[in-house]
Amino acid sequence: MNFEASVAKLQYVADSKHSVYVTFAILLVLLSLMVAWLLHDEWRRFLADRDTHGPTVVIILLMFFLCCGMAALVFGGNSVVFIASPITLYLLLARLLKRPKSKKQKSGFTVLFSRDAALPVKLPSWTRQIGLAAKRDSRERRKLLNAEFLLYLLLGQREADWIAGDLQERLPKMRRKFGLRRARLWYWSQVIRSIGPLGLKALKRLSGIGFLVEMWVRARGGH
Amino acid sequence: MSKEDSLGQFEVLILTAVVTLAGNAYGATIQEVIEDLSGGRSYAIGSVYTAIDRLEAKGFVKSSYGGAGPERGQRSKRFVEILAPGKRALDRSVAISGRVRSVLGGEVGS
Repeated sequence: MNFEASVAKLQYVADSKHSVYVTFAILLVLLSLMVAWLLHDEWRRFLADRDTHGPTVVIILLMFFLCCGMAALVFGGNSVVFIASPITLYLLLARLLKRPKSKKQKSGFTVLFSRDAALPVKLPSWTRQIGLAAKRDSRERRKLLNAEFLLYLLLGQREADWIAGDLQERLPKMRRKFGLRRARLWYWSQVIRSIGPLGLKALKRLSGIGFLVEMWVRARGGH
Repeated sequence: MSKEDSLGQFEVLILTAVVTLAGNAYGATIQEVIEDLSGGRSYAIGSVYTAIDRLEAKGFVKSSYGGAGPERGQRSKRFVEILAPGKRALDRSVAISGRVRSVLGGEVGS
């Protein structure tokens, strides 16, 4: 394709209804870049040792495929290359420039993925002697980190902290009472059941529904 | 008594737990106590916090933060303390329950 044809195509896109799609696609790319920036450290860890958690990867991949899909829809299949190339470049650079962060530097999203925040799982001493304990500990912790991550994803940092702390505190008791698998199930059920009421509260606050309800109650005479 | 001052069953349970636990009332302990009070029924921790928010908005309780420890991954607790209007509302609810019980006599709950 020569230069004039490219300019003509751009002109066509700018003049037609496609400009809406273009704007949408640009917004999606910006959004995906923002998510990539937020998850930068986690992403680097994923590239460095493949040690990461499900939701992070799912979010990144979803954003990536969404952008590629939109681009393919609006500009045709070739444009996917234009979106995929910078992301691939970024992945390569991140791999090349990987640098372990000190504990002091950890903040924000990185803390959410920290293994220190996870559940302590006690195992028999013999597993430690043959090196099984560390592996199992790490695996068990990661299983619950997904649930914990869901809290941080959907609730505010402070509320998520309270809930995750309370659940972690009660978990050893549940484990002693019902066993590890059922305790894990309890943890997950608590997280999922908590998202409903707390999410609804946040939604009311954000959308102003709560304010409208309050006005309506006051208009009815305080009852 | 306006609707603002009245308490639902769940709120009564939470205020009772807060009174019982005195200075050690926070999410996990409140959840444990209300599960005991209600005969082993499970409550979501999120519902507990939503009810505490509601009670705080009514001026029945107040919250403070702190008490992070290793057993909870260094995350802070939300301590809850009952205020005078909360105690009055709880007294009223308990009194109503008592009257209902006396009216019903041996019909239920014997």
